[in-house]
Amino acid sequence: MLLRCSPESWLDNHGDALYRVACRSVGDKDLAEDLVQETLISALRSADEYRGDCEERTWLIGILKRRIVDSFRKKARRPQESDVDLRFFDEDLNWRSPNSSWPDSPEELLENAEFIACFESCLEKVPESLAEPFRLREQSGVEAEDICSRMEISTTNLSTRLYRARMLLRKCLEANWFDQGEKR
Amino acid sequence: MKELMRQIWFVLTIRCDAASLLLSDELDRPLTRCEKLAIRLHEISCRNCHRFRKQLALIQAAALEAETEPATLSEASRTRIRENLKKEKKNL
Repeated sequence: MLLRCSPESWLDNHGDALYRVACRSVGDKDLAEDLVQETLISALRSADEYRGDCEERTWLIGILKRRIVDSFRKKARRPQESDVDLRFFDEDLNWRSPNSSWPDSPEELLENAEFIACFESCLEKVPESLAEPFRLREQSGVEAEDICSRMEISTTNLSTRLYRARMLLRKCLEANWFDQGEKR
Repeated sequence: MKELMRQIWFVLTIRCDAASLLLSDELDRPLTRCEKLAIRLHEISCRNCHRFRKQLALIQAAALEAETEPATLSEASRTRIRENLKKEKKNL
C-alpha cells in the first residue's frame, strides 16, 4: 500500500472536503487547516493500515474526525450560547450600550476587504447554535420555515436565534470596527 | 374591542427589547400591521432602535459579501501543508 500512497494527491483530491468538515466542526479556519494537515500526516504514517476496503476519502475523514474529537479535548471549544453575554438591555429595557451611527450608504464599507474580514471573524465567534441558522438565512437565503423544519425548531426559537446572532454581530462589529473609527 | 385595546396598548408601550426583536423578525417574516406601527412609532422617539435598523441592514449585506461556506483551502495553506507532508515523508 505504501508504494501507492501519495499524500500530495490526497491534498489535491480531498483537501477541500476535509477542510469543510473541519470548518463546520470547529468553526475556526486556522484550526481547521491544522487539522487537515494533522490528518494527512497521520494518514501517511498509518498508510499501511489502509486496506483499501473503503473509499480513500472515507478513510481520511475517519482520521479527521478522531483529530477533531482530540482537538475538542485539547482546546477550548467554540463558545456556547451560555458562554456569551446575551443581556443586551438594562432593567429599564433600554440598550445597555448605546448604538453608534453606522454609515447610511454602506457600499464603500462593503467593498472594504478589511471590514468583511472583521465581519467574518465576528461570525466565527458567534456560537454555532446561532451562527448556523444565521448562515442559512442570510448567506444561503433559506426561508425561515424551511430552516425551522431542517433544524427541527419552532418559529419562535428561530426568531430568537437569528435575533441573538444579529445582536452579537452588532456588538462585535461595534467593538472591533466602528469604535476603532478614529484609527481608520 | 378587547383585542383592539390590547393592540393599542402594545403599540403605546413597546420598549427597546421588543422593538429590536421585531426589527430582526422583519427580515424573516412579514410583520402584522400592529407590529409595524409599534416599531415605526417607537423609532421616532428612539435613536438607538432607529440606528439598529440600519445596523441590521448592514449586517445582512455584509453576510452576503462574506465568504460563505463551502470553504476551500487557500493556495498558501496548500503550499504550507504540502511542504510539511514532504518533510514528514522524508522522516518516515
